[in-house]
Amino acid sequence: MAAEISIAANVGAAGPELSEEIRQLQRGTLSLDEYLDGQAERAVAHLRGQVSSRRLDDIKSVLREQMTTSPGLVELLRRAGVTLPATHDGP
Amino acid sequence: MDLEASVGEHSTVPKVGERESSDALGRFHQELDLVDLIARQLSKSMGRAVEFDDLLSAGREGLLDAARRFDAARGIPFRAYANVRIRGAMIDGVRRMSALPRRAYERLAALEAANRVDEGGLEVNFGNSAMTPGEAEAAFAEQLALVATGCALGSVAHAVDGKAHGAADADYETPEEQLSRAELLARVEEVLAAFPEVREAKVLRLVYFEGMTIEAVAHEMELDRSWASRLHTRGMDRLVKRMRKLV
Repeated sequence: MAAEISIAANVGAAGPELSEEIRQLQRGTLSLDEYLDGQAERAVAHLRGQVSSRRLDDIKSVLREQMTTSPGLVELLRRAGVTLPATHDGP
Repeated sequence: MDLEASVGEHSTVPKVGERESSDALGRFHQELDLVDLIARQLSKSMGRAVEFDDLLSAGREGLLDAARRFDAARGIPFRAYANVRIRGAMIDGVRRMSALPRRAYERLAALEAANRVDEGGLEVNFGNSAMTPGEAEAAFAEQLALVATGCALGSVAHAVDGKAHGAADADYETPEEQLSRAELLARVEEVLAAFPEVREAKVLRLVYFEGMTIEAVAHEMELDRSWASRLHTRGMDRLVKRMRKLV
């Protein structure tokens, strides 16, 4: 879904404590795909060296899929003032 | 769309009866598109191992069940609640209906674990409207780490009993994968043994090592389902924190 998405940002709604990545998302200098890839990489950081690389790739793939319809992600973007256009196929 | 027509053609879907409230019917109709959306995503994820129509059937059942059980007082939007219930119903349906290759079954176990954590995170994401955007982002990142850990445990624990579920795959696991799986399970067991809250460890063991659903765990431990789900989420949070210290 993310490849078709452009981000309409509401920069003024963001608080100072947001990460640099989400600020870049707001500014349009980071795509949603890139943001989600970064989120998936960070989420598996504590698993590196503890599961095989094949399983790690599978886990990142599941995370990416899960995020595309995650109510939590939509709520996060709403709170951060990032609005997804109607082409977004998530919830 | 007529509700009977939309669900009645599938024998596994509960019939709509007089006890359905107009609120539940309204919720069902309003979010029917979500069933199709999630079915398409799961179908893409699982490949030819599952039938799209089976996903739709199970998903409609899950949506109807969600519409019946929904409690607006929890502060969770119905679409968010329905999302995890629909996905969960589809995963349960696949588990019941299909003889999957082991890798597909392992992926299903990971998806199931991810959905379980997502369900537990609903109240975190929606139950605290006072969170700042930055706090919400941190909470979401933390939840993703729990999902990742759930996926890891779901997939490696599945591998232990995979012979019971899947068709034989000659190249299913390399010796290195077998070794890392055994080491991870041993490490997790060591961490669980040191948990201060015994019930959290028990929930995680039952879910990931015994393959039980949250419903079955709640029944086994004589807990309310939502309480069992909270114990699962808290236990996963504790497990991730301990595992980070080990890295």
